[in-house]
Amino acid sequence: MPIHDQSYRHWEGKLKSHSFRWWIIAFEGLKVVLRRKLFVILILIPAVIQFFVFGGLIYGVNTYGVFANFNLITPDFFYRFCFQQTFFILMICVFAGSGLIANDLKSNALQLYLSKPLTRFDYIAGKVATILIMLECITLVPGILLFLEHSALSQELTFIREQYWILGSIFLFSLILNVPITFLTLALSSVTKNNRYSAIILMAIIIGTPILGTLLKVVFRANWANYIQYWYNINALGRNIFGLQGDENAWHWSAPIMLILTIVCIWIMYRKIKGVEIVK
Amino acid sequence: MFLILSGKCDIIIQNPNLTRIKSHKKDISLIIQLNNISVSYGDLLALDDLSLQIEGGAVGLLGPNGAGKTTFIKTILGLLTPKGGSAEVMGMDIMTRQLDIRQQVGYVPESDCYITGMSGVNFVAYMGKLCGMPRKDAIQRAHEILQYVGMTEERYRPIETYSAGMKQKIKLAQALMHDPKLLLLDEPTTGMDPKGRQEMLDLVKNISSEKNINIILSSHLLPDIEYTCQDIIVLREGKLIVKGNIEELKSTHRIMFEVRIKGDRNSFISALEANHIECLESERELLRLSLPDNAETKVLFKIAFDNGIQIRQLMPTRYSLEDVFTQAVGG
Repeated sequence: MPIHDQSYRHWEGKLKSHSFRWWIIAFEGLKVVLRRKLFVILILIPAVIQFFVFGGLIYGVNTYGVFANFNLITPDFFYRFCFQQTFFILMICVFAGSGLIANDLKSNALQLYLSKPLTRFDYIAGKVATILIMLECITLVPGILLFLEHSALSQELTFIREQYWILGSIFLFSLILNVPITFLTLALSSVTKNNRYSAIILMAIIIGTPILGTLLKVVFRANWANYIQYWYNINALGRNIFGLQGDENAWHWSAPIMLILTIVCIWIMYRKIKGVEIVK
Repeated sequence: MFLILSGKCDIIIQNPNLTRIKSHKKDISLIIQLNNISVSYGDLLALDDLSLQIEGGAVGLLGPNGAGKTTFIKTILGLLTPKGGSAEVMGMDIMTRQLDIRQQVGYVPESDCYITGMSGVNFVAYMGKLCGMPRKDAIQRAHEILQYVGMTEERYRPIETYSAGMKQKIKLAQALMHDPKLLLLDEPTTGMDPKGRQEMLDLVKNISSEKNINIILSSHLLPDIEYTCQDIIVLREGKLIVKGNIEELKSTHRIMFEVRIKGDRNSFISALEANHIECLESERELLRLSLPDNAETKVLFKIAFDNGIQIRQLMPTRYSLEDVFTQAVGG
């Protein structure tokens, strides 16, 4: 009688619910990304350092009266923190996001995923969550922490009473910053098997559209050229959300543009992500 | 951890919640039923009004390139949507219960497929988790399955570094993770050396015969099918050509002879065909002849004599799976 059977054994454990299968994909994706030491050292840690700089400013203002003559901690302060994270948002999308689907296409992993009890929605939701969690960790989470820090350190409750809406603004703006670029990254990742190509196209869109928009504005002397610029639209929406000065009517165009961009990206992903590759 | 020793069973269960022995009786009822299924890629009809019933056991799926074997597998997995008809896998409709079907089915794809940046054991455990297995169970079972497929040493290496044979084995391991009732294998021995191929075939045979998991094995390699399967299905241009038990198909055919001749080969073949004797394949001087049931060998000598041919060798031979296949696909 052998003491341990090394052969195949049937399994009769209890299966988990189907509802959170996407989370398994997201969790595994995060694990793979966070194992890359260079990525963590060069991108994630500097993004966190930025949070500590802003946190230090709040501490200095409240504890030592630094910049006492300036009204420093305003909605603009929180807007600036979120907007200054855009560099790291782009870097995360380029270095962590661009290969998420492209690598699966390259190694034919899609047919493995979709031969399991998973839907295309589960797969896409898992990949979206992988990027979105990282991006929200450097925008929404520190933004809220900064708000809470200032609320805790300021001597009076007037800040919370009068400026509580900033919390909602941080939440909404972080979504506007992160959701369209997440879908754009994944859509580009789903159209090529080479993650370098998708990273280059993403960079071209994010960095190239401001250049193109500026050139067109100079040539045609028309404001519509602004809406070609990716960051102009984000900026216009952000300033409106935080109630800051700027082109008040810009969001009328910027919001639909970003919405259409996101919908197109979702459509591309649904077209490209299939369990069967049909070679014509 | 505690041990349970059973007099009737020589397996020790380390954790009763994790691995209870299941009476995984092979389901001899229908596992697949197709009713007039048609699947097309644009204008190309890959499955043409295919009606088919498959019972449990090991079934070989044969057919020339483009016959619709892979399309058949992907259709029953719900990866392709049929243009018409209906189909059920283990009583579940392929149009409405795709996820339930995939929960019961393991799939070994033809092409190389893996997830980059993972070790073998993590990859297999991940596949188990995607099927809904709890994390702890998935990791323990991944080790067990990798041991079963003979990848004990290589399991911690990144999959990208695996040889073609190892990649085939890891594909089999991931398909077995959630203990499927039906295993679909699409060309599982592609790219393997003879030793690895034999190991893979032994595994497939063991899974089917000892572990009571139904299998459908698609392959171009007839010896692979003959070694592992009891039944075959032959497809051609998306249509069912032959279906049945391999031994029965071989035995129901007529008497076969290998004949070596000297003389005009073509006139001899023409004369044989005129006498209803089928020439299945031929080398330069060696012919494989299938005689009608009541025919005797002297008819061969008479035809040879009439055509000025010398018969230098006449040897009875077995009707092989290759003969069944060749006759079916008209090769």
